Amino acid sequence: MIEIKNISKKFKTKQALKSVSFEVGTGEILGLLGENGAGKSTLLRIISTMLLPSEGSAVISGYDILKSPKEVRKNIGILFGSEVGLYERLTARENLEFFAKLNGMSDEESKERIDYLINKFSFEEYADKKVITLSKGMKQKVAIARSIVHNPSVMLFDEPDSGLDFKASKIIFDFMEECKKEGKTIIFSSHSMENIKNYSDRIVVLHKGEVTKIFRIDEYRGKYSEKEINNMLFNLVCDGDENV
Amino acid sequence: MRDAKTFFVGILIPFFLVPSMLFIFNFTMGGTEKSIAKNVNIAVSNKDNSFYKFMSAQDDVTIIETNDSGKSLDSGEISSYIIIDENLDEKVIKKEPFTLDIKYNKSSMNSLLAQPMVSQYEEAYRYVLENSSFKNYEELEQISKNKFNLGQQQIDQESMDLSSMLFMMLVPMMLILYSCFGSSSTAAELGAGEKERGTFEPLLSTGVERSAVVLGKLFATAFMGVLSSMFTVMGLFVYLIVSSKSDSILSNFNIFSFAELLMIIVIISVFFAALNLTIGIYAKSYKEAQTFLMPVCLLAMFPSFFTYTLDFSNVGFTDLSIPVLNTICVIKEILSNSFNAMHFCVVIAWHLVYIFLLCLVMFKLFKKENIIFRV
Repeated sequence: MIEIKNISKKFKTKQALKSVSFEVGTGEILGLLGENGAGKSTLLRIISTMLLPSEGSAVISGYDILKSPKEVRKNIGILFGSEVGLYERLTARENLEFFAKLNGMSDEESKERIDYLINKFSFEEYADKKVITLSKGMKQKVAIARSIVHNPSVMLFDEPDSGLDFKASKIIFDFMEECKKEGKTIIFSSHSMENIKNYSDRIVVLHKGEVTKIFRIDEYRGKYSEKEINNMLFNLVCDGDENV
Repeated sequence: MRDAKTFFVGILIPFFLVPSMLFIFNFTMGGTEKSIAKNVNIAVSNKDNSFYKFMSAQDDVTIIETNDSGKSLDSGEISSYIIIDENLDEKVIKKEPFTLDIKYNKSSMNSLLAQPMVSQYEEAYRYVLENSSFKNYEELEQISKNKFNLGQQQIDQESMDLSSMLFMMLVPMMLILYSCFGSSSTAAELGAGEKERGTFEPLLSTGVERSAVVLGKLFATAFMGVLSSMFTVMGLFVYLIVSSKSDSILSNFNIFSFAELLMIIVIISVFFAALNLTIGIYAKSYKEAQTFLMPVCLLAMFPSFFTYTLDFSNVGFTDLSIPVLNTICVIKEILSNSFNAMHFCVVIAWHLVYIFLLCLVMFKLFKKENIIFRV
């Protein structure tokens, strides 16, 4: 469960987030939609305790990000956007083993979990190859596995579909659906409207650091055509106004 | 130790670099010393005197005719130029003081090595005069034509002082350099390199305390520095065993000196690792880290020049608090067999204080998001 309360963030002169508030329940997938620079990555970094909010706070699985950051970090798994952040001289498996150790998993636990994730994300073929030899898509799958190797209750994915082909993308989102059924709380951001529409229970639209709309896509389906929904999302993302 | 490059840079080069340099240094110095011992070319300001005749009589001295002594010294045609007192013989007979001014080229190794030998002959000439009886020019001329056998050992000792001086400057400098260079690339890699590759955020998003991450990085960085400097000391030790020069200034260097040297090198390596890592963490990119780290390594070289005329007996506690400079003092004390336990302990203690302070700076930097993420 995630509770975000009036979070604002200012970088020197730039206001990256303005009083952002919303909640994400257990067993829910929330999609973050917004342009580049809308504040999606900053919000995920604040939730993961990497950045401190200028104002406001958040509670993750009962722990306040300001008061108990270490406990928050134990309960979350985060995939950061832009860089995959893998150690290139290690193999994919070694990367996972290293992060399992950092998260305090025993050798037995980690072996079982890593084998499960390798199988789930279908990278048995290159699990023992050095990361430097892998393609961007392969690395992205390894990075996602790395971020949730310790089986956290809250998963934050900043553009998980970046660099993935349709098949790989589907594997990742199907896995997210499975996690949702297991009661995990998931927030993900994406530039793909289709993925946001198809896999989110609710959508939060950020525009210039402000939440412009929080809604269930089901509320619009049936009332409007897919083209109209797409136009609405486009207007929300670009202008902060739905104008359906 | 995942690849051959690390093995090569961290172990092989440090192990062989200092011995190779010392072997080359001794080989070239030895060659010059031998040639000087056989014959030395000199020029004199005037010939009509007993000193000229004394020098001409010596088998290992050749007197060269020159019109421009400065040019001849610069070109290496002569190793020394002696300005003889205008009225030398007259003063000698009257038992009055006289001057013999020896000029040499300070930038020429040949000239530097010949200088002690020429000085020895000057002393020998004065000795002969003091211990002979003569009343007129004829008797003085007769005495001056005697050959004089200089003690070869004494010349060698004078030459040794020069090579010792260079050795005492070169070895501490190489040890300090490797302590610093050994960890600089690892520090850049583990600080700015991780930021650049995006591995910092996943690392910090785990449940591990940030202070533990800092200490882990310090351990990894220091490991490379300690490894390089340990192999540098081992290389030096092997060189001393293999070269086994009985008259070497390092003939007293034993297993205890080796252990003392190793300890001081380990502590300075950890200090440099902490300093380099602090810079590595502060830098925005790997390239910027390297730009900052290069001057640190160059600065580390300077104290070895400053301390080359240092008198150990005058080293105060203030000098011992200055990092690097204090280490060089202790290294020189160990190398010259004047180990001072108090100095050694004070230097170790100061380094522990500096390492602790640098750790505090790193902890502070790790808490600043504009440093860690450069937002």
